[in-house]
Amino acid sequence: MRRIAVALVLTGFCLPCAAEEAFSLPALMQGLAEVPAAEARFTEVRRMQMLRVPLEVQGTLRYVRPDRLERHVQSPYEETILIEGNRVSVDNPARGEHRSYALASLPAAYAMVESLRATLAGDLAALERHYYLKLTGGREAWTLSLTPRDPGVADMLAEVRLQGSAARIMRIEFNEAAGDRTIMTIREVKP
Amino acid sequence: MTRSARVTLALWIALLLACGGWLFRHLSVSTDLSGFLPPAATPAQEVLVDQLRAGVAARLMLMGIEGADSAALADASRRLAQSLEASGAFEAVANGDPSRQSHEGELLFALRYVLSPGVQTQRFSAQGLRTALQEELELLASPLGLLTRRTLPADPTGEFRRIAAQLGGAAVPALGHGVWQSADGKRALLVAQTRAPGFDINAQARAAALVHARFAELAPAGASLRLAGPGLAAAAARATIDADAQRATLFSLAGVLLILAAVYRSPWPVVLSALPAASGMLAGVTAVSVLFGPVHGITLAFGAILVGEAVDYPTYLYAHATRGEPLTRTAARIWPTLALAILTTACGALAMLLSSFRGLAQLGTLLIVGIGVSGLVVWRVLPALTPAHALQGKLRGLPLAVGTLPRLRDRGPWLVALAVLGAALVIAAHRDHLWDDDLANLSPVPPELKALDSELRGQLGAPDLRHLLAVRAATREAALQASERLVPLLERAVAAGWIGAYDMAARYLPSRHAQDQRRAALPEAATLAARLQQATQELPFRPGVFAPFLADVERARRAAWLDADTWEGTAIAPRLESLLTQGAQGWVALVPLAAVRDVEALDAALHALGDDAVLHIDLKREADALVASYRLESLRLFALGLACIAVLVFAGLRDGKATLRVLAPALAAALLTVATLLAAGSRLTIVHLMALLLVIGVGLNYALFFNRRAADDAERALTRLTILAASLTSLCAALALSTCGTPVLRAIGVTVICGTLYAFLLSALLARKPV
Repeated sequence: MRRIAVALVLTGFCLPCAAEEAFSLPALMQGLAEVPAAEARFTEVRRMQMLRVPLEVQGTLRYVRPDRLERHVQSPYEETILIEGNRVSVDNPARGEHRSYALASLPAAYAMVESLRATLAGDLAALERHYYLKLTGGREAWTLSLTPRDPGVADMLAEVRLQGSAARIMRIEFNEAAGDRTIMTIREVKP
Repeated sequence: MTRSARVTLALWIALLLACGGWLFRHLSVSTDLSGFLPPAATPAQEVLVDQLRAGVAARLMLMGIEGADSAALADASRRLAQSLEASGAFEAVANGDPSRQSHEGELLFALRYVLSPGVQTQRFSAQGLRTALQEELELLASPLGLLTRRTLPADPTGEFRRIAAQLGGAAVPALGHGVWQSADGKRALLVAQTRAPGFDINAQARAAALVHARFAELAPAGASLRLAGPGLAAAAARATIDADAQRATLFSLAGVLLILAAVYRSPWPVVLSALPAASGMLAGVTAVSVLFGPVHGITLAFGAILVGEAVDYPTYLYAHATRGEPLTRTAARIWPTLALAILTTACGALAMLLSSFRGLAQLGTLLIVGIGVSGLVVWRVLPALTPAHALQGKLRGLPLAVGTLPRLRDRGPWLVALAVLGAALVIAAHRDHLWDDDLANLSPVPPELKALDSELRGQLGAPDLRHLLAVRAATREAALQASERLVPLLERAVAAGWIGAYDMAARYLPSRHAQDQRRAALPEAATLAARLQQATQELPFRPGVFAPFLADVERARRAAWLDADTWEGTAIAPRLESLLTQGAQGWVALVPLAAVRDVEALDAALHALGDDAVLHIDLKREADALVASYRLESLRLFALGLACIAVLVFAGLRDGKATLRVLAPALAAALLTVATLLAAGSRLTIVHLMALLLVIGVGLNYALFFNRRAADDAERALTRLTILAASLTSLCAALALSTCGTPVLRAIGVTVICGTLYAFLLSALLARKPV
């Protein structure tokens, strides 16, 4: 019986009566939801077909419950993307760009934003609005795979794969439909 | 029957036939509301009024689907859009579905080198290309660069993004499951543009019915559809006005007949009493039709007031007929008083007649002509038609004793003075919010529909149009060029935060001059390839990535001029049509400004530009100025009407004291009416003022008759009866109007009810002799 329950959890199903040491989506989300704020350094490597070499940027990520996420690129250029509520604003001093968009007007970007923000928030409902979810692994090393529900978004974004340990996200992989791949590694900074 | 009576009758019948004949051939009824809105005072306003009436804005239908989950709503939205597009009744249907906009997107992309203001010689130099590509690299690294990646090979200078940013503006409805939805996902939103013009109310109503029918075929369980828009508002207004016209006329007619039947207790006088009113109505409507063309539905409903007033005249005649006296002699006896009563009522309607609101002028015309004809019919025709025995059964006094009134009457002047003082205090207390400045409150569009309209507009992110620049020029090219010359100023205004955003026709249809300039800025193929080679030397792009770019630039260099019909079938066509119009005096390009924060800075910059062809229109300011000017006009007309009435009464009575005695109750009644309206929470509109003058004119009738020298108690009892009957019929008509859904009619009805009651009471309290 116990073996069956574990197997179900591993394939992404979750039973409310799952055995204690089994790791379920609600349990993961609950753990994440208990983190009020987080700050981390990130390195993002993007491999694209049209480029000979990968693009690499570094900077900080800052999250404040429930819905504020700031992505501050510091190298090789300065750019801040602030997501708050249902708006996203881009601030690039070098280009003199200060723009603000409604997230809903950019469905693919919205889905990408929520893959990180809703996970940080432990907001299972928000995640499920955008993605089909699949959780594998255990509490100390889990992988959450997200596939977009909206066909329009799926045309661009094939999968988002988050990896982490307990209430920490350590690596995010965006696999685009066209074959381009972005990997973001996150190192938490103690507040 | 005497010879002169026969002549009179013949003339009367000829008049009725002539009127009937004219109406049979020419009568048309309109429910167009513009007659009850202020007429445009300036050319710029004229442009706007035309736009509102016939332009694209008037053809928009806003739709909201609700009552299902977000995915089901999105599915219904898609299928409804498809079904409506196939129906052929709509020029365009938009629901935010990107696949439906792809044609437009493809066009914008294909035309990017002629549409983008970024196309300049420097941009296509080796250095310019290198700068552009470096920017693109940063965008590629950004999570928001997802879309850019697809277009980059063909558009490395980002021209399409520049255009899209312009078109998108600040306000875009939220997307849910790929279509426009309200932010909470509870309503899917669509906008359709009817083929039929906005003023064709029948066609608009048919289009709405079609939408409902198509929706019923595909609606998910529990879902409902709500529609709004100018065409629907017009249809709803017409329904209200039609219902009002029927109900008001029937209700007042029935009530009046009942009252008369109670007074005469015989069918003949009742039937005969209806004759003057009917003749007056016929003549009045004919006069309106001759002078104004289409007769407004509101005018017909207002006929109730005419009926209520005109049936009083036969009452004066019949009531004053003493036993054995030929009616012709009675008519001659009361004619001076009757004539004065008619004239004062006509003066009361004078302000309406002279108003620059065409709708109100129609009401004034109907009343003056109708009352005049009714009076003449009572004077000359009724006596000849009434059989001798007809009045035998009539009441000769009130069947009930009015015992308390005489005792109160002793203190009458004091009571009146007290009431007037109270009224003055109430008015003084309300002096800061006396007037209703929002003309929209006079519109008969049901408030729920107005609320739904603004709710849907809000969710669709349609900007509230308040500030506009109007650029006038002789030709389309000149208008486009003139608006392009404004771009540096407008960009400065956006950068400085004076305005949030702007839109203009030249964005979709650049002047040929600008198109030529942009094409000239594009290098020929070999040069561009060499510069691109140079620009990408130290950048990580794979070789050959930008082949589509080279091909597209070469195609743009050879393309023909972009024209307005390029956009046919896209959402840009209506936008262009509304931004660039041909008026009577040439072309007008409109530049709507959104989120205006510093009007003064903007006006100063425009002034410094020194271009007379550019006009800044602040709709709120214009509307406020209009309202103020119409209020002033109405006050002037009110004063003029009042002066005419006073002169008339003095001329009729030839006695200063008596004049005062007659005028005092009517004026006091007007004052009390205003105080009552204010205390009840209404604010005064132009219509209230007009109705007030009408009340004064009618109220004077009572005062005139109360102040007639009565020969004996019998006549006094008669007077009392006459006035009571007259008041009741007026009240009856006003009651009919006060139940109307049309605010103009309701305002008149309520004012006349208050005024009639007060006029009756005050006339009795201030009468010279006990009555």
